[in-house]
Amino acid sequence: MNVSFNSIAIPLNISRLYHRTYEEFMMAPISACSVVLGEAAAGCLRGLFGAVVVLGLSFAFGARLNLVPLFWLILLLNSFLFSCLGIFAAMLINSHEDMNAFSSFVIVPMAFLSNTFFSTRDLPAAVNLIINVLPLTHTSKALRALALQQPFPWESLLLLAFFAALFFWLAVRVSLRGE
Amino acid sequence: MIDFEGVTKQYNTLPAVNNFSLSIAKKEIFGLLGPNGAGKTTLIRMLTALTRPNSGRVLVQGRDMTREPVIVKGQIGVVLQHINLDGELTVWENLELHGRLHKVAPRERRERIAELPSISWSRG
Repeated sequence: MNVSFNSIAIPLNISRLYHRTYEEFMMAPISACSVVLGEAAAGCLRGLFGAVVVLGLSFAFGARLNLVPLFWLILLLNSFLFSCLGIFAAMLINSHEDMNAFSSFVIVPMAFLSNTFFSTRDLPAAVNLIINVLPLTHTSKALRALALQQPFPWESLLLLAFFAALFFWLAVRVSLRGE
Repeated sequence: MIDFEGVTKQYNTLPAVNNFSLSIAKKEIFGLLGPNGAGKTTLIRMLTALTRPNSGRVLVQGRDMTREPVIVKGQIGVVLQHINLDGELTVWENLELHGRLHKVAPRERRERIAELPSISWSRG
């Protein structure tokens, strides 16, 4: 999540506001969908590369994980949706300082609260409700179930697909708006 | 032919262009002048698909920029006031990138880049 988001959002925001190189892409005879897909593909590749490094370290330290194709699909969906969120944020936020604030107040808390490092079962019901609508919660649920060979939460896959489609649509919309 | 038909553009509540119409004929050389804040940049941004009008139409060769942006962008060439080259790429890579963006065939791209006389090419 972090790699996919930050590797797209920050360079794109700088490119749009300071170097203005993003305008060249938007003026080229290619659709906004193609530009967003290209940026998202770059984010996916970097995100997956980061994931492979972490998985390699896990195996080196003795973890035994079940890496079935569905595991990689979830990783890909997660990288894609956070890349698209990065594009959306970079196109919407008009200063580099505010980009950092978005990362600090949205991405970092999500990383900690989404059932990643500690169980959320004992948290208040209202907090759990919020946590359960965060996409990263469903990524960690699905990946944990696959890696540990537990029953797979298919609703998480559907929700991740929904978030991926939603963030892609939002990224295209703000790219077309272009202000 | 370039036509602005009743184009209006607002940034939040700030009107930048209000019900603007203009027709520029084929082969006509046209200079757009105006004081700061007159809306010149906004007009050019709408003409180059960098922003969309709130109402009205921008047409190039009779094609609507909002409805057929990819075709229209393929018909225009733009040099902006800012230097938009990617500083992390070499000159060759920048030309290659823009050739690809504008769908110049690979062979033609290589030949046209090599034709540029005053540059000693290094891909590094």
